Amino acid sequence: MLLLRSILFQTYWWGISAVMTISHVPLFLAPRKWTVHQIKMWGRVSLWGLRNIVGLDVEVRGREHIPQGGALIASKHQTMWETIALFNLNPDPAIIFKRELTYVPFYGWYAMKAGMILIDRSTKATAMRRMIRRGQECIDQNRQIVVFPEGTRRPVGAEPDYKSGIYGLYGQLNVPCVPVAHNSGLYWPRRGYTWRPGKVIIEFLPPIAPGLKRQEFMDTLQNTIEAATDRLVAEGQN
Amino acid sequence: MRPKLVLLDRDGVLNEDRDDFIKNPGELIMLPDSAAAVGKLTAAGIKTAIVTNQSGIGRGLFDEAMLTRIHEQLRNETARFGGHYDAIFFCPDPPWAAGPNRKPEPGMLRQAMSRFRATPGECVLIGDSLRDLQAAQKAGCRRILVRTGNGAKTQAQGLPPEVLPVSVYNDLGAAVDTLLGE
Ligand SMILES: [Mg+2]
Repeated sequence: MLLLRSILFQTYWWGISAVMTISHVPLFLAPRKWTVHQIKMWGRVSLWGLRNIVGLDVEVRGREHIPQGGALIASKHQTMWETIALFNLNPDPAIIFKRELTYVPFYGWYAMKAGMILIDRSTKATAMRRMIRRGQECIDQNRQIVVFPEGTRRPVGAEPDYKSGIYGLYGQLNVPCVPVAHNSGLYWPRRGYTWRPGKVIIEFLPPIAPGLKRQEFMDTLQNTIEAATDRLVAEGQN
Repeated sequence: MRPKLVLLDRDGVLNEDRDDFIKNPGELIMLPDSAAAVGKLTAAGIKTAIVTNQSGIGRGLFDEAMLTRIHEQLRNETARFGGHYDAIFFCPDPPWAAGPNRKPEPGMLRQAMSRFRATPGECVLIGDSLRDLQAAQKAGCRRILVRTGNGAKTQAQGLPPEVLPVSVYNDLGAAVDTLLGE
């Protein structure tokens, strides 16, 4: 049954993704915001499929902790789910992606068109300066920046691996940082194609005020995200 | 941003905690390096204030004069490392008659902040129990959990979302080094 639902969802998801990807090509000629709306629509349709085909629901906690105006939203990264969810839970986010994403046809191009921040991880110092400049532009436009401080997806229960790159943004942009925890890894397949029914809980935590020094900021961020993630994973496993 | 004022819980942060309360100076055993850590704060020009629940008084186990002697001892142990407490606030209430000063309520923390004219943003609380973190959260100041005393247990039991963000260090020494670092 689980497998059947997953196969059904996959068929649906690839189907709608293909249709939307192709039919929205003209948006490359339209203003950026149109593409943002299109990606949000794709996200809603994806989450709808999860809910109605797989039986995977969403519970959002702590929305009141999301400040108005410029901020960093720093999330645990376990699966693709949070990329979709965070894009849809934020009015006009700038998500930080690896530049390799642009090699993925359409997906990468839409990300560029929607004004995501693409970083080159090979050349460190220049990449950092460029990321900060792009980040500042986003903050100036009142967009919030979504970042996965571990840089890449990590399995549930893996040893945390926070990179201090996020401190560059936090320290230079002087904005609050909202830690985000969730338990998507319990439901979204890491490998293979079996989605599990249930309810992903995503929780926005009270922001870390601007101005902390590097070590204290990194310790606070990691500890806060990990403490909340452990609790949500335990809650999901019950 | 270095804090202007560091609010310190006492038992389990500065000295070893005891289930049956610290009832006389002889029962006060400093944690390793805690006095040296306070010395570093003093040397850095940062004010320190102790904010401690002392329900042993409300329970009738010892009186305020005895607490003064215990704190005399604490000050002496700390002074050997150049450490100084700019104020000591204590709350004698027993849990069954807790007023606004007994942590998790923020009364003592607010008194300390107003004494030193510090805003919540200029303060950090360092404690080993959930109620320390809760009091700091209500007072609006940053909070650090140390794993000494009750701290490891507090961390293992899971920190409720409302007290986050929290950073965790093994002991006061590590917490102070981070506060003063860079
Ligand atoms: Mg204590």
